[in-house]
Amino acid sequence: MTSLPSAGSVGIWTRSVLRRQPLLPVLVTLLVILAAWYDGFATVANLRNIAVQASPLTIAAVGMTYVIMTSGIDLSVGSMLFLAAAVESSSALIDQPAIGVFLAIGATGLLMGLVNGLAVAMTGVPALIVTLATMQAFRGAGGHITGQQDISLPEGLRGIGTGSLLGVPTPILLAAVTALCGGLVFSRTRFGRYVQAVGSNHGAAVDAGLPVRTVLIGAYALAGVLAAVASLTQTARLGAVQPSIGQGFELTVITAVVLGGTSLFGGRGSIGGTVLGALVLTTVQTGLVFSGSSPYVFDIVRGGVLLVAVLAAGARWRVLARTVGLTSRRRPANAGRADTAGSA
Amino acid sequence: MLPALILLIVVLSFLTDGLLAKSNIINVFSQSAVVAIAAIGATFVILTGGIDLSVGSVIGASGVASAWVMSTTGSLALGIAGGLFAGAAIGALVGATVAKLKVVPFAVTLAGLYVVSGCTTLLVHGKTIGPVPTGFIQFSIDGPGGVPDSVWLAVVLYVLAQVALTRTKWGRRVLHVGANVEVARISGIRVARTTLSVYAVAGLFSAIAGVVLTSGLAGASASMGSPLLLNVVGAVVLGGTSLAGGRGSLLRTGIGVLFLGFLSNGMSLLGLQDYDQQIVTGAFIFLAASADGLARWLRRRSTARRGPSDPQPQAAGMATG
Repeated sequence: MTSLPSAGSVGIWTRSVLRRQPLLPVLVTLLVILAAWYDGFATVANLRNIAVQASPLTIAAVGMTYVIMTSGIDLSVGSMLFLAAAVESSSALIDQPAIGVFLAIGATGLLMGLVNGLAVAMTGVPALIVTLATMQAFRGAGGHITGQQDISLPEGLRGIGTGSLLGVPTPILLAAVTALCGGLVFSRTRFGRYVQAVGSNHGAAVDAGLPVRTVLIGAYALAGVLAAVASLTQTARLGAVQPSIGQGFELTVITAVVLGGTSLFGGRGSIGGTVLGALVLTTVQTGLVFSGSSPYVFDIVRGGVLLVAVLAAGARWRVLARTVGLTSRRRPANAGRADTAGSA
Repeated sequence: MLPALILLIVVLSFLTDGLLAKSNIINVFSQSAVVAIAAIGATFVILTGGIDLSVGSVIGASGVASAWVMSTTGSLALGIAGGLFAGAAIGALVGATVAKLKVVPFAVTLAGLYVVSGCTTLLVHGKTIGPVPTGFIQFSIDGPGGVPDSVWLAVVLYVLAQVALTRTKWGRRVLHVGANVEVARISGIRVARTTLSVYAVAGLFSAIAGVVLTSGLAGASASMGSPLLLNVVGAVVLGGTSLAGGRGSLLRTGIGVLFLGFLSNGMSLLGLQDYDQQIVTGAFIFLAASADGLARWLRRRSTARRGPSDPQPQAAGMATG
């Protein structure tokens, strides 16, 4: 889905990009309006700041894209972020080298994702309920570790939030690498195709003999690991772990994914769209900061954006379904069948 | 679920002192009243196969509305009416979005959760609204037989709701829509209207819970209901009402509410911190939700090992059910 047509004039190419990523003009328009409206918005420092702020959101949203693509959901993402951050700040790891801490955080994310994934895949309980329960349990566990205190991080761990490589801040690099790998895995690997197949038609995927449970567990595990990576960039930038970290994060992440064109019913979507969704949301948030409005306004805005995005997705799908030329290429049922042939 | 509740009470009464003292049992009931009332609405929503994540925000919004009307007009009745109206109106709006615009309930109510709490916080500038009349505060403290009025109210509402579910046309429509939307539509039920009404009713029960919580806290703030979401949904799940819709009852939800009430009370008696209580509550709801499916999976595994045939019961079930 990320690959572009190889031939054709610039006009066709542009139209193709716009068709695949209708969010791109939205982002550009938004940036232009905000730059015209507020002095100091269109500075390199501010644009870099937007990209840095969008990094944890992008990383977590790539994981969430996989989960939603299987027609699942993960409400626990904010609590996973907090628990991973709590592990990072725990006194047991205080004297460890940075690499050891990173591994511990990754393992924590994997473990949390496996808990969600195993419950969803093995029991058939709606992911909504499973992750609502783990949302509470993970946050409690994080509170247990931190004792509900603010804990500042040692200097060595902050580097990942404040450092840079060749002039590019590390959070942006991490987000870019995550998005790139996420996109490649999605479009070029068997796992990626299976995720789409399971999401577009669960029953058909089972009948076709796909390893549906493994795919589901994999998607949630990936979301857990990426939530942990997101927590690394987030806490390193803040320099501290606070009990409120990640609260309401699930709404932002899910909104970014849905805004990016991934269907809540599964099967359809793209990582590129998710990245754009995260950038649009962060731009809106920065614009609200520039306007001096209360942070609660962003609560209302992102809730509204989620609703509009879901409504628009429904409308777009109906339009697409009528336009045969478009649907025949992207119809999820086809993806399922193609994968069936490739597996076994 | 009843055996699990009894087992929990027996275990906790061995672990703690005074769990079964009369004053403590009244304490458990009065602390459960708010969740119990909100869980009635959540039960109806889940019976239709939906979910309402906005319940905590609606509790906050309607509590704030009632406290604000009470403190500005000085009238208890107007305040309660204002709170109930606010909750039912938000519920109807959510229901209209789910039923008419066909947006999945979880997306609508997740958005609603933050939109409603954001609006409420902005309207009251993050402050707690009060004072409320002392007679109103008494409602959550005392009542006939030493049991607070709020508990009696919850009991009456459960009886009424159970009657509405099992003995009225509306209740049967709710169950039919939850059991199978297509069959319900074919048999002449106006599905959209029923769904809308269910969310409006859920908003009304959240509002009643919000008013009761306002009386218990002697004031209202926008965020006061947000920690209650998991307990409300969890009580319905623990009670054993099917998340797929169509099967369940308020009796089950009531047992789920008491389970969580005794669990929380027992943990407090044991001196557990808030965050540790979160872990335990989350784990119990996680296990309760998974238990059924896990047992089914284990059974399937053992039959699969014994015999190779798998007649695809899903497709057959869909055709007949």
